[in-house]
Amino acid sequence: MLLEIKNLAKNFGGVAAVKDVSLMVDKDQIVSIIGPNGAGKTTLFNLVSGVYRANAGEILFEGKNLVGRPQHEIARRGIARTFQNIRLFQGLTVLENVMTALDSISRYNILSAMMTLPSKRKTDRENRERALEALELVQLLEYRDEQPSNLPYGLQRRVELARAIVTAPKLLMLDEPAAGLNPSEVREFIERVARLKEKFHFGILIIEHRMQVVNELSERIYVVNFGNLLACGTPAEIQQNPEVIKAYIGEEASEC
Amino acid sequence: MFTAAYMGYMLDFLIRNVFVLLIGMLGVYVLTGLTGMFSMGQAAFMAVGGYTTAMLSKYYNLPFYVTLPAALIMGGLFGLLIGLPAVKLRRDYVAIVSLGFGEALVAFLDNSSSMTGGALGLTAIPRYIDNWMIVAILIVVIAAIWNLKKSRFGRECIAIKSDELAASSMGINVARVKLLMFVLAGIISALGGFVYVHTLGYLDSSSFGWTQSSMWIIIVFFGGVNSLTGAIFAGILLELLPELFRFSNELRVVIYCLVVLFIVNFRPQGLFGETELDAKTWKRIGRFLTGRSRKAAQRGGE
Amino acid sequence: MGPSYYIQLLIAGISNGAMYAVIAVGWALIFSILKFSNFAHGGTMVCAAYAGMFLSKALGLNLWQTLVLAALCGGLINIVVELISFHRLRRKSKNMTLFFVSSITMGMLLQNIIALKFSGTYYAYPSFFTQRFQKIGNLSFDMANLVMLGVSAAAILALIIVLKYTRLGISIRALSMDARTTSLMGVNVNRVVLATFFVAGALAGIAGVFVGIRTSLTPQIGSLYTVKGFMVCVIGGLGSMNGALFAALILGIVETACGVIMGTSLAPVGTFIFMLVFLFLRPQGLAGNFATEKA
Repeated sequence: MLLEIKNLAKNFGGVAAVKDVSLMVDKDQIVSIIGPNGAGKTTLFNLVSGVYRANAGEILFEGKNLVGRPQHEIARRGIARTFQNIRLFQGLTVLENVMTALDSISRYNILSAMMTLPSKRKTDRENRERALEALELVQLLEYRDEQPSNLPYGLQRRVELARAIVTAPKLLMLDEPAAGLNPSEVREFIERVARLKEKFHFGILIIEHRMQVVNELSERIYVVNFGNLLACGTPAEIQQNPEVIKAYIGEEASEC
Repeated sequence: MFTAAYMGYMLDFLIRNVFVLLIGMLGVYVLTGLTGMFSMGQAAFMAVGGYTTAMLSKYYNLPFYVTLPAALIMGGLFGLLIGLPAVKLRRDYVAIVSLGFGEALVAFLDNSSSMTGGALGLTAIPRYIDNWMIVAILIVVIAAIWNLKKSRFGRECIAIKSDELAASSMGINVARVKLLMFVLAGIISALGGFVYVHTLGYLDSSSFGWTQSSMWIIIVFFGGVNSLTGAIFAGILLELLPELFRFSNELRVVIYCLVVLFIVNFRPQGLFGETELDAKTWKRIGRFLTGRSRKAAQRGGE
Repeated sequence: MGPSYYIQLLIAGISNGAMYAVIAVGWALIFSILKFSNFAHGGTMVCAAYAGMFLSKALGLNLWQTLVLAALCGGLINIVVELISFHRLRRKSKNMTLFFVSSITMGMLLQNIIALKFSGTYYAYPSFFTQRFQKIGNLSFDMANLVMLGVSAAAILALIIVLKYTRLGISIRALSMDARTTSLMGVNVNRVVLATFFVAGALAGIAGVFVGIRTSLTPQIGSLYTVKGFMVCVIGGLGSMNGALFAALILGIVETACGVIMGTSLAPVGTFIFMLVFLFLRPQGLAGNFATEKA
């Protein structure tokens, strides 16, 4: 198993954001988390990527517990993510944004950087190639020298995606990746994710409200509500689950 | 006014005063401009380098190839010392730690008069450094920082400045990069102190207080977000103009403050914004100018 | 040196701290609504201190009249500070760096306007007290310290009453919790911000008078007390009024103690080391609870 979350819990000063959640993601598998706003989905991502530290439970990634590990170490072990509200780096171009994900695993030191030694040039050239490849995969090559803040929303989401996949992570976590996209962009997004999975064979964990995305992509769906796991199953099973319909689909299905 | 003697004097002033301070200021560029940490006591690092150099060469007659590494090491050590607590704290706390360090160091220098000469400072230190050497050192430092900015470290710094959380989820070890920059900035400013001492032959603590440090922050900010060439340009402009117009020090600061307040309100990205004056920008300026003249020519032909 | 010596020192430290408290509480007030430190605070203080000194000399005022006028000047200066350095920024920008640069610049501007006019000459307040020391039992106290302690306590008490019971106070507290909701509730946010700056400036003015009485006035006390005010607020936990209060007392006592142990001029080194150690042990400050960043 690639990622295995066991009985995870997190509270903020008495408020339990995540009470008891267990879930699994294997490699080459797309798994979705759905649930109403405030159900604790993003908190779950933040726990896995190390922004918060869990109060109880385990996060096993390739069999090793991640709880208490610093964020950068978790990222370097092969977990990449995007953010609900896009967090690209201001002041860096699109290409440089993608390159930062590779920079942290580059090996040249500060002296060779200041003197632009051959080792630095070689590494940076390779990283640049890889970043360009990633940009090509999300069809953003022509925007590589733009400032991300100048791009429309949908393209910014794609920059974040490129930045997440450039390191060829083992697990990719997407936080509402289709929010704010128009219907044709959603279509493109679904195809893009399927294609990327074919290419990289990573496990993908998606938080999403759009049932179209969830149903078409996921192998398995977890439904969370009030920090608890409500149900788990294939898209077809989830659609039939009466509890889920009551808690979630019943309220929001009209949106899709 | 523009006699040869006057021009010579100004050139001398430019190199011996402006350029020397510019070296110290580049430490602020690395910390504040690039990494987004408010270093409000950076001038104290210049004092560390300066006093190390001055005391070693005055009391022990050591040559520059001993005092230079000593000054740089001391600058780096103090950078590490201040950086260690600072990187663990929130961003605005970095300001207070560096500020407190600056004030404490000046108080210490003023009061251990047997070694540092107290408020009077140290004089009669050998002057090894001539104008050409200052220019050469400045160019080397600028080139090093330029390369740094164009490397993984520069990108990591800007990423940290822009969004620490996203930066660490990209695998960037935020604390480590910040600490590295504290040490580097300390070394750069200490180098400024070394050059200062061997250029002027004297130093006292009053030049390294809060006013100098905050002046540097203003200059870096004035130059533009992230822009190294902007910071250098602003540094030269803001340090040279008052000499040209013979302002008093206080009037100079008053005028700068007014200008900066205006900029903060109406051009918050600073003079250069994120743009660097590199080959690409020059080309664009060139295209802009020629494009315009071509259009003008067309209009003339019609 | 018997216990009376230490009691005298303790009282001196507490009155020292009381003055810091007046500065720091104003600072914390602005931090709580702006979520950013106003580094122009010391600038306002030094301007008000000079204004109070000249007014009291020109008009032959007594201490109380001087305090009221200096407080008024401080409040008005701080309103100008808000209008110039924060008013536009508050609406246009969320960028922390800009607030930082703006307030630092404003502080330097105020301090250097004073320096431009009055540097080189030392000015001092007229002596308001007929006797410098007050004897109680076998203890002798500096009158200035005692009055400072009393006035600081009164000023802070007044502030607490304003915050607790007046309409303005309630608006300020609401604003510090949630600016958007407060404005949606029909509170004129701009007016409340200006009023807060006035209150903070008035406190700075009062502190300025005492700084002037205890030492001679120089333009540099602006930046000096900016540093101290900030230190106190950081130790107290940024934005926390109670924290600032306690931290001010602690810092006042620590500084006085350092002054005795290391000599007055080396005291800043001692207080700095104290602050470093404190922040290392408790980075969130005395009262502080960090708001966790939302991903």
